[in-house]
Amino acid sequence: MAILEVQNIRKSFGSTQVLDGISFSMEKGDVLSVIGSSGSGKTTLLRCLNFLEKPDSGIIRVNGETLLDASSGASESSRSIRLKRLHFGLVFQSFNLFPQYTALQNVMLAEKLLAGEQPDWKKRKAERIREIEEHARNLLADMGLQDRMNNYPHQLSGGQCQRVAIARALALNPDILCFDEPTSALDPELTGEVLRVIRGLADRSTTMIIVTHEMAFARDVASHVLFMDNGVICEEGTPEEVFNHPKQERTRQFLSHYSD
Amino acid sequence: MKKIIALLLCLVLLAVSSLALAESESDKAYVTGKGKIVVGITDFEPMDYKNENGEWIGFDADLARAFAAYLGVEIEFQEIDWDNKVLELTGKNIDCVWNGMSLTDEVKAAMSCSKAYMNNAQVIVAPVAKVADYTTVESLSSLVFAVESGSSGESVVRDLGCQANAVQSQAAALMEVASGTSDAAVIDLLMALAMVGEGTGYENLACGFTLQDDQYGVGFRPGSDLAEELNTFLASAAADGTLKKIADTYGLGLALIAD
Amino acid sequence: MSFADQLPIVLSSLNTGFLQTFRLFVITLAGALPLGLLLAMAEMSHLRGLRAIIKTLVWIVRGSPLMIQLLIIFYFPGLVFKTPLWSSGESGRFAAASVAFIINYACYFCEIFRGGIQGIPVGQDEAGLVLGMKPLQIFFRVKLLQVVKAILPPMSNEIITLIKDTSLARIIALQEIIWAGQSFLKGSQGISGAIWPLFFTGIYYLAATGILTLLFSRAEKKLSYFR
Repeated sequence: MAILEVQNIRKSFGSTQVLDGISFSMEKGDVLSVIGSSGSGKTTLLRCLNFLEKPDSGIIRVNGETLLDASSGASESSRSIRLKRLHFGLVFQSFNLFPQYTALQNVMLAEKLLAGEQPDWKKRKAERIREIEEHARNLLADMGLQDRMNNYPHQLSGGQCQRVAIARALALNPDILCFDEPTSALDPELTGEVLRVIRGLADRSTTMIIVTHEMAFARDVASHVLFMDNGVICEEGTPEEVFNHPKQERTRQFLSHYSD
Repeated sequence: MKKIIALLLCLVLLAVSSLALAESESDKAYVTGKGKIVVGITDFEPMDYKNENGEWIGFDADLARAFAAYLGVEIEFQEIDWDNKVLELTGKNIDCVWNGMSLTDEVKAAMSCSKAYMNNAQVIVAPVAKVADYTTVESLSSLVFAVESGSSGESVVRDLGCQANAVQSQAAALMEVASGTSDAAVIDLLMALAMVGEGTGYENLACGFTLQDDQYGVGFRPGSDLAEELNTFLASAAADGTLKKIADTYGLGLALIAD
Repeated sequence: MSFADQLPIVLSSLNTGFLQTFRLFVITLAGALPLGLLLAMAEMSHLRGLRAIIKTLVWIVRGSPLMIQLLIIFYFPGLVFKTPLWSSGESGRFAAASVAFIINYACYFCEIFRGGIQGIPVGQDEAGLVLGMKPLQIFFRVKLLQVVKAILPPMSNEIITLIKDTSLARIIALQEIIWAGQSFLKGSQGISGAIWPLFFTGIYYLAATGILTLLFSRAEKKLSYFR
């Protein structure tokens, strides 16, 4: 069964149709690269999956469970939207770390708040916090940040910040981890460390959707590639198919800008 | 926006119409009903001022106490900002203004006043070194005077055609002269006698000649029946010697209006 | 009366006046800070009508002199409705002054709060949301401290202004410290024509604003650990 099924998502802002019928599906362990020029709707697609935007129509299913059926018209409680979000993790272009918390506290915060809603929280508080901290330390160590756990965001480089943000997104064990141009805000010499981390996650079969302008990376890390143009999926396939044998003229045109 | 303007207009209309409405209840009934008369004063020796225990004494304070006893009500002294005396009175925050108040035309128009009970005058106060130069009205023409805003001193100076700095209080007018920001002041004679000259805070100032005689009275709300009530009380207090006794306590026996 | 004789009398009178000044200051803060936050929340709500009401209120209150507001709040009930709302004596005047100051300062605080809250990047909200946090958790656990840090400088400005603005309450004869200092000019407790007590009140204000300045710079330093 597909881990993610997206059917016919549409979204418009005013008179601009940003997503015009997007459908695709992913299997567990897939890494999906989404490429396309600015304004093609890539970021809006990720925001819809994370419930930061509400699609005008369309269906989103995770593990067979329908999270969203925009045509049903039923309004949902904020609590149910909140829990559905947890199927997805999102890493932002601009990190969006919480500046008043250390790297470790950034990773721990959401898990601690969720644990606080459990009925056994009061009884097991000290034990749970120990577990959550242990989990956060492991995640940060995986990101190569074992020496940086107690630093505040402003004391970290952009690449380190983005790695903290990835650890933070992983802390809640999402089914699908989404990246919104994770290296676009970084100096070129810092992109490598972030891409290496994402590559490592791919090697451990983490299911990911990566919106990126790093064509070499997109091709290298992906099991599947979507090329979006003007709110529709213009072309999709394996990296080999899309990058080496594009069927559409528009795809060729787009890729030619990155040929050198 | 229109709604706001409409609302403001309603408020203004309400204010005007309710001001225009005659009081249904008599003021005396109102004061005896609440069992307390609130007397609006300022700290003004020798009329109203505090003794060492913080109690209000002075000619006006003692007389007001006797009047409250006559009415059978308690008395409360409330210090006010002199500029706001009419507001305080019509807003019913105080029931009368009893504080060495000169009965000018403006005062008589804004309040129901008792008959005059004490003589006062508007006097020139100037630096000791200069006061001898000011002997005639002509000698004053080039001077800049400090006066209390809204006082009879101010109208006297304006009538003379001299330049006037209107300040917040008679005391502030004295400070103007002491600090040299005005050439001279015109204030109440009774106050000047208490506040300038040797042994006071203004040893370098002295009184010159008096410009105009005036008289003190007590102000009540417009249309109040308490003014007449006070007149009756004053007549009996004069007859039985109470008035003279209080006046002598504060060295004001000569200023008292006899009849 | 010599200066040495005057000093204890004047100081005790100024102390009493300053106590009134300080009480008005504390009560205004205690009322205006939460009210200002409520107004700021209302001003950012989705209800257009509510937003319009708050914006109008803020315009009226910030657009007219506090002195006029004091006069209206204290004198209007008696003038318009013929029944004074405020009890006679100093307590009624103090209550009226408190209400006027709380409303006035809440409107200034409201704008500072709103600016501070809206100045937090929207990415902070979104990061909290995708981590499954509730809106209140996002406000209190993520944004509040950032807001506090951002609004400290304008707040310290406003609060230092407040302690000096309390002297406006003398327009309704609240006997705060300037009133106390001025009374010796006219003559009070056997001292008349004394100018120095009025100027001496400045020392009290300087001491109070000095302490406030120290407290605020300490708070700013305390929050300088993040950016």
